[in-house]
Amino acid sequence: MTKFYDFYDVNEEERKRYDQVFEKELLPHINALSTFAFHLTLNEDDADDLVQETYLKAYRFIDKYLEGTNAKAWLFKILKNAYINEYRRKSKAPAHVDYEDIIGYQDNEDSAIGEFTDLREELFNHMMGDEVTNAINSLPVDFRTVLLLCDVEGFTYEEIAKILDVPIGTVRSRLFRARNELKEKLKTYAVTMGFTDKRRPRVRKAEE
Amino acid sequence: MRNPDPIHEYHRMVNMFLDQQLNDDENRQVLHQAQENPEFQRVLRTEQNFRDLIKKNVVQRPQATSRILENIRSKIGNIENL
Repeated sequence: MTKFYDFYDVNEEERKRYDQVFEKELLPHINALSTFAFHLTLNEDDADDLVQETYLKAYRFIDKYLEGTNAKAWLFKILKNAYINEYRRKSKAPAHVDYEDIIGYQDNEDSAIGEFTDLREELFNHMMGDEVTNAINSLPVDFRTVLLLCDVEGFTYEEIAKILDVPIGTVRSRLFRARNELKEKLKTYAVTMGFTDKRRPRVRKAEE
Repeated sequence: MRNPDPIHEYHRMVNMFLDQQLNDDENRQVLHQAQENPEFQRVLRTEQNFRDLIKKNVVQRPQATSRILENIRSKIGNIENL
């Protein structure tokens, strides 16, 4: 049986306080965690299991949580660790790691800047919701993760670095690469839907 | 190494701006540059639209939460009642 926070050693008053903290500070983040879990696992049932596991772990270690601090970031870190420990192991297949990605992460850490992929404004008119969602979900999980944490959940680079246990430079680098890759996917999609870049070739080339 | 191209450098600053990584002075500078230069303005607007597109199209799952909440409370209750 899982042993919860020295459960049998705490008095009734402490236990009530832990329960209150759990209800007031941790449970309100369940929607965000549920969305994040789904985008990691891309499976509704696995996502639900992951969220439950996250909250059970959070409850188990609630004596380590400082009331009034960043509960959301703490929970996201627990969820990310649970995902890595359980769900990647379950899948048996080792996660695909691209050699170029490793070089990129390490070499580009602080600069994180190569060429920015530019999207034409007209291109947004060619975007359908499902295709954008599919493009986001087709990104490698490390890229999807930083995009969700930054662009959807609004975490700072520093918070993301702590959640993922990586240097801030790596967060910046992954964000840059994730956004560029997503833009490339959207561009490709827009072209297949009939979008053509009508700018003069020289202008187009300069931006590309 | 930073890219010396002004558009690329501005693009880099816009990303930091939208990620709320700049201080107040730098934020003002990004906005001021956009006002002064139509091409910079386009970069800022396009990047903002791109971020909005991401937010708008990430699948949210609020409907799943009531059932999960029930399960979590039940599992914790079972432990407490032992």
